[in-house]
Amino acid sequence: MFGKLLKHELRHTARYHFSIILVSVIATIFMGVSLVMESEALMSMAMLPLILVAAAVIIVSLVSIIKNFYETIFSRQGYLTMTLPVKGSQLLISKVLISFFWIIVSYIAAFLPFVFVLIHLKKQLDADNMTDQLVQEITSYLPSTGSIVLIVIFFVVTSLISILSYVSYVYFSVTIANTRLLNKHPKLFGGLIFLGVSILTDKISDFTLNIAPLSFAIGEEKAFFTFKDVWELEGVIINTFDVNSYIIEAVVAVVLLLATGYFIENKINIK
Amino acid sequence: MADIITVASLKKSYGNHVVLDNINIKIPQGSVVGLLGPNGCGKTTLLKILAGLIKDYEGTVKINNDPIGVETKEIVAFLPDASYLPGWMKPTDAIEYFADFYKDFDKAKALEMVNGFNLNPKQKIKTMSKGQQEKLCLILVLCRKAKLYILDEPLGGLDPSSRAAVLDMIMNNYAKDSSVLISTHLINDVERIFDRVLMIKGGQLLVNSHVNELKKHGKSVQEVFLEVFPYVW
Repeated sequence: MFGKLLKHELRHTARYHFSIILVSVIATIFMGVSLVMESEALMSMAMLPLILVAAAVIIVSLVSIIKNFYETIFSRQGYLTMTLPVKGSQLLISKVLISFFWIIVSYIAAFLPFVFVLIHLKKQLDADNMTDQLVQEITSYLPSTGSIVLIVIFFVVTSLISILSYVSYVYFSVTIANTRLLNKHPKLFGGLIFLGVSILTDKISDFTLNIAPLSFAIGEEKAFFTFKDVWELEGVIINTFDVNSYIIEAVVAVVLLLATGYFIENKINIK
Repeated sequence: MADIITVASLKKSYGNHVVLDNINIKIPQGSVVGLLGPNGCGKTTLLKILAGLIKDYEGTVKINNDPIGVETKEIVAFLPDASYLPGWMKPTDAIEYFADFYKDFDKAKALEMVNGFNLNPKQKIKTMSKGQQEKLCLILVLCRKAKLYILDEPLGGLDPSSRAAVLDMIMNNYAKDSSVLISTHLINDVERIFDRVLMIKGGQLLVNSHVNELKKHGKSVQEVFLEVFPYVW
């Protein structure tokens, strides 16, 4: 049954995302053509729309997740969704996974056109015999291969946490805003709850930072996790990232999803 | 015979407004039951509780001896009082959706009925008329071999000639060993099909009787209804 939920959720949400992703693909083709034709004017013309399309793809994707969740659970369509013989938790998990999928797809779609720009730049550098020099320059700032793998894993995991965090904030805010107490002004209360949860998460992160400030440091030699402050670290440190906020975000996201599941299962009345 | 619906001490309020107050109902399997009452008397609230769409109530509600949940949703076919299908869907999409989620759904029968009622299986639901959408919703419900059909005002938006056709559609297509609970205020049209009637007013159950009991005194259901609710017309 869970597979069927995923199938229909994907099918239902595809129509929101398909058109905007199509625009992105057209922009990519336009950029590709301008590069093949080696038209500097065409490429300059394409850059601004490309940036706008990239922003639009991501914004539309994020807004669609809110719209789809509200429509399928709390509007008339809720009669269809909420009478299905499935557990509320299965319904919620299927929605989370598909939202995850679309956010990742929209990010790829948004950045796809810029890949062509990079390819073009590489071609120009190749022509000027500068590629090797540039690669050397960049790699000189990076630590060993093992550390690069760790850096990649760190950025992938934190990106996934950020997506999970956004989805859980949205689902929780929309759900609470549609309880009987607040459902006269669901948009207003939904926005306020989203803001409130974000501020609260930040405050908890700040609090934990004072107790045990875990950081991820990228140094010239290696990348590593540390509880030390940046000025206490040995060697050249390129950058540090606050890990506490990601851990708190992940914990808050899980708590919010559990709470959302509870409310959907026990407290929400379909109008 | 075992009861398909058991409701005990059911109470549901919206704030200070009590919609259902101490409702007790037992409906035996295989009955066709009319849930009657004026607008706003709590009929839809009771049906939504049975369908699992309203959860914060007091009392006990069971279907086939199970509390409302996944098990009851598997055996209940619910028709709300207005179309609820997403506008982008076509009848074929809706049929596939029901076939995927309900083991008791008869896909071939649904396709046959869609053609029989002159609905275009490839037309988007948002471009269909209200009547066409209601017919499609009814087809989807009746093509399930459910143990309990809950129909909320199935005749509400229809003209008198269509009402008879839809009633025939309901009576000819529901699984015969099943039970049907129909809410309506158009008693004249439907009283011929009821075995039992429930009459609700102001959140309270005033009548819960077999039709034969009511007719003992030579009165129709409509006449009894007018006696129970003298000021609602």
